Order: sequence, then C-alpha cells, then structure tokens
Amino acid sequence: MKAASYTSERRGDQTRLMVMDKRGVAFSTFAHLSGFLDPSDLLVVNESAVLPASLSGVLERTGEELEIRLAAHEGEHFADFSQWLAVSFGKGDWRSRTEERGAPPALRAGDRLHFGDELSATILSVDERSPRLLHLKFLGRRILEEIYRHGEVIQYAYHRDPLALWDAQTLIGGLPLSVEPPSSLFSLSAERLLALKKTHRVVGLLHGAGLSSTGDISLDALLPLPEPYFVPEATLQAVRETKANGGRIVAFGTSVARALESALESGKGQGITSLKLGPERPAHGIDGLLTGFHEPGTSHFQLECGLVEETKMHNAFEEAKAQGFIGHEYGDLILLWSNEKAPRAYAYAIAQNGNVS
Amino acid sequence: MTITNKTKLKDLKFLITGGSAGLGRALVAELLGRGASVATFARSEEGLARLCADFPGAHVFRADISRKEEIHAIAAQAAQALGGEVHVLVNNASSLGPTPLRLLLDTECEDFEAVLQANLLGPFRLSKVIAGNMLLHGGGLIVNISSDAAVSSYPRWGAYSVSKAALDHLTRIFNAELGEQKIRSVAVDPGDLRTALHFSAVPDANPENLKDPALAARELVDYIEAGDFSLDRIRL
Repeated sequence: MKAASYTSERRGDQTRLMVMDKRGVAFSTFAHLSGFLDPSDLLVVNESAVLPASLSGVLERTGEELEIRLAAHEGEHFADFSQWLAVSFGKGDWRSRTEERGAPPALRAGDRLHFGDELSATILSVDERSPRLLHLKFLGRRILEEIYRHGEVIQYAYHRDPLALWDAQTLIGGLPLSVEPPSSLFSLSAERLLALKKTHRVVGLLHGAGLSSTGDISLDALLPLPEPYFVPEATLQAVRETKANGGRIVAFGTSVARALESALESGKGQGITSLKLGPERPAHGIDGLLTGFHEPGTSHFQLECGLVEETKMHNAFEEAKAQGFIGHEYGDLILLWSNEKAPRAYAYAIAQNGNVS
Repeated sequence: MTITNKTKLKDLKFLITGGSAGLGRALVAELLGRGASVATFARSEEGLARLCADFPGAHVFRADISRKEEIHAIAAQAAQALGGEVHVLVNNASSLGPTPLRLLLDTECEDFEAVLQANLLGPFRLSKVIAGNMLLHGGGLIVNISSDAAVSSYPRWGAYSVSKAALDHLTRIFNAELGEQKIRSVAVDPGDLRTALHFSAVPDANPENLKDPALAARELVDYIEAGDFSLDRIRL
C-alpha cells in the first residue's frame, strides 16, 4: 500500500474510510463516520499529545554521535519525565530508512549522553533483549523543557518533507505521553468533533503511544513495548454504562484499545501495560476500532486480527490497496467491527456513500 | 471542565502567559493566595529566576509566546505541571513593540509583525492547542487581556492597538464557535495599570492616576469566581 508522503496533509472529512464487519466491507469518507455508528455507541479517544522524542546527542565516553528515540515513559508518575525506555540509532537522519542506518555505538550502564548543552542522560541499564534498548534517566531540573528544546518529532523515511512538531499533534492533545502520534485522530477536526458530540458521547483516556518501527527485526518483534496508560474513572464509568445499555465501545486508535483492555483486565485505571493484543488475545472490551492501515506482520495488524479473522484482514488490506487507499500514520482509515451486530444506520450509510463487497 | 459560580478556585488550574511582571505577576500572586493551581512562564532567565524565587507554589518555566515553535512546549509543560488539564488560560503576555511609541508610518514592518506575534498570534496558537483539549473535557475559560486601546484610536499605539482589537474579535469568534460547548472566552480591559509596560509607553504618566495591578488581579479573580461569562468583553 502506498504510504502517505505529504507530511502535513490533513484531509479531515475527506479522509477515506473503509468499514468492515463480518458481512463485508463498505467504502466511504470520514465525514460520514456517524452514519456507521449507533447513537448508543461510546467513542473513546487518546488525548495524549506527542513529544519531540528524537534526540541527537553524543556519547561522552567515546565522543560518538548517536540518536536516541524515546520509546516509553517509565517515570513513577506522569509528571515525572525523567525516566524512559529508549532505542538507540546510529549516525544518519530520517531520510535514510531505519533499516539502513549504521549501528549505534555500544552502550553500557553508567554511560552518559549529552543532547546539547543543557540536557544529558545516564544509561541506567541496557535491556537484555537488545543492546539498542535502553533504560535511561535524564538529569536536571527542567527536563521536559529541554526535551522540547532539543528534540525533534520522530520522522518517517517515506515522507517527502520533514515533520514539524505541529504536524504530529491531534486536535485534543493534552499531556505529552506519546512518542508517535495517536494518528487515527488526525482526521478529527473541531468541526467533526462538534458534530459527533451532538449525537454521541466522546470520552478520553491517556496512553503513551510508542514506536511503530525501529528498523531492527529483533527489536520490532518486541513491539509494542510496555507503555503507560491512564483511564480516568469517568471514562471507565462511561464504558460500563454503555455496555449495560447495550451500546458499543468504539476505540479511536490501537492505543485506546490497548489502554482500555489493560484497565479492564487489571482492574487498575493506571499503570504500564505489557499486553499484546492479537488473535490469541483479542480486545474483548471494545466492539469497534477506528484505525489506519499498517502492513501485515506489524503489531498494529496483529491487533486488528484479534477483532476480525486474519484472512479477512488480509483481504481487506488488499482490497483497500486496490481501491487506492493510503497507508501509515498520515493515511486513510478503517473502522472494524468485531461483533455480529451491525449498526442500525449501516445500511443507510452504504446506500448513501459506498458499495458492499 | 465547565466553570460555574459553584466552581471553587482551589479546584481550578490556570495557565497564565507572561507571569513575571505587571498584571500577570499580580494574577499569579492573587490566584496562589486564593488556593488555585498556577502554571506560568517567562521569556528571560532573569524573569524565570524571579518567578521561582517569589512564587515557590507556582509551576514556572521558560518560554516565548511569540514563537510558534514553542507553543506545544508551553501547553505540554502546563499539562505536566497541572496534572493533565488546563481549566483557565489567561493570555496576558503583551508587547508594545519599540518605545518610544511611533506613528504607524514610522513603524517598521518587522516591529509591527513582532507585536502581532506576541499579542495576537501567540494567544491564537495557544488557545487553539488548549481549547482542543477543553472540548473533550466539557468546557473551560480563556481570558484575553485587552486594553482600551482596542477600541480607542490613540496616535502612536498603532501596532499594540491593532493587536488588541484583533484579540477582542478573536474572543468573539471563539465564543460564537465554542460558547455552546461551555468553552467561554472573555476579553478583559483591566484599565490603565501602574506597570512597567505602561510607563514605557507613557513615561510621564502620573502614578497616582494608574491602577494598582494587584487590585486589577483581585477584580479579575473575583470575576472568574462569580462564574458568569456571558459577555464577550468586560472592563474591570
């Protein structure tokens, strides 16, 4: 599938939308999303903002240059931005595919990294699963300020132009826990949210959306890494009410699915989740998932296969490709329904906007 | 969160731009004194050091509202400091441009643009980021500090005056678009204040004719506490 290459292009309502349930698929646009929903459906969004999580620095011990990408917040609480799980990259920039970057310098516990004059970090430990996977601690008092001063938003080699921090944010972003965007929200304009709020309940949670790719097969196999989440009691209450009333839970993005599922499974509204959703561990807590298109084999695709049979997901992916859908973070969207019951408005939406296959 | 006359100040989280001097500084003091949570920032290291020393209870950082590149850093640090959500944004930071003030025909284009960056574009950009999150949380308040120069045409106050008039209208448009969502905006004319900004514009102003910024801060916090935000613009 062609990846979205125009960086800050947001097509909003014009973003193409594929809707899929066990009966088949329909094609529409994001403008008509509500036509595929029932009024009793609860929409759940990730209100995390996106950090400039790519930091270029120098290893003090050798003077070698490297890039560190923050992968997941490991602080004791969300106001503590000092401790992170991170991945090292060798020299080179985002224009090189991550697979083609040189090896990063060998790092060890106690190593000191410097990012500009006022931000440095100590390697607490190198994770046993990969020499590139690091647990680090930033030093200093104004860590978040300095991360914003020295960091850049994570780039994608398939993009034509570099992304600015503004390009990576969503309409509703608040606390910056994510290192890559909760991109299913890129199409959500204020105009659309205001319209959706007239007919639906929309509630938020926080999930630190992590790295989507590292360019290293063994590291990518570990994705998604453990990530922090916080589901407010009001959101959990809304989920319980919706289910009790026969409504369905629609997750905007895989990060919402992971956070909600983790909260429901553990009974804790807050924590760090290692849950990996897929065919062997489907997301029972959600009924619908609005998300982008990512290739078979990615953790993103696996999560989708927990909602819809894998062969059907493969077919849907191929069909979307044939229809000219655009993939990846800045691309088109798919709304997947996991259960048998189709929305009442579904037939109407197909008749108005799409065709069934 | 929806702010009403039943909302307690101690439950409100404020982000105040330009907290190191004048009305902003007085607002930080007043709000902290009345139990609110406050995040604010200063452009200079000196301003930051002063804020840290004087207001240990406030969350302070260094940033420049006029730079688009810093807006998300401001919103992020406020969210971090305030536990995730800003309830009240006070767009207080203002720039006069070079002083002595000049006639419009003598104003450099770059100076005019710089004033708009600080007084209009900065508040727009920050409001855009903060209000998006407020939309999810069922409401909030945006206070835009204005001036009588927004409605009166004083010679030599050109860039500042134009920026404040536009800020007033930005307030009205936000209300027209988001007011029903309980996100209210209000432009506040605090009166002529005994501040460094006023003296740099009017060096021979009689201090006795100028209002104490602490009084204006108290009036503004009383207004917020009263919880009636039905007007687009008020004068303290």
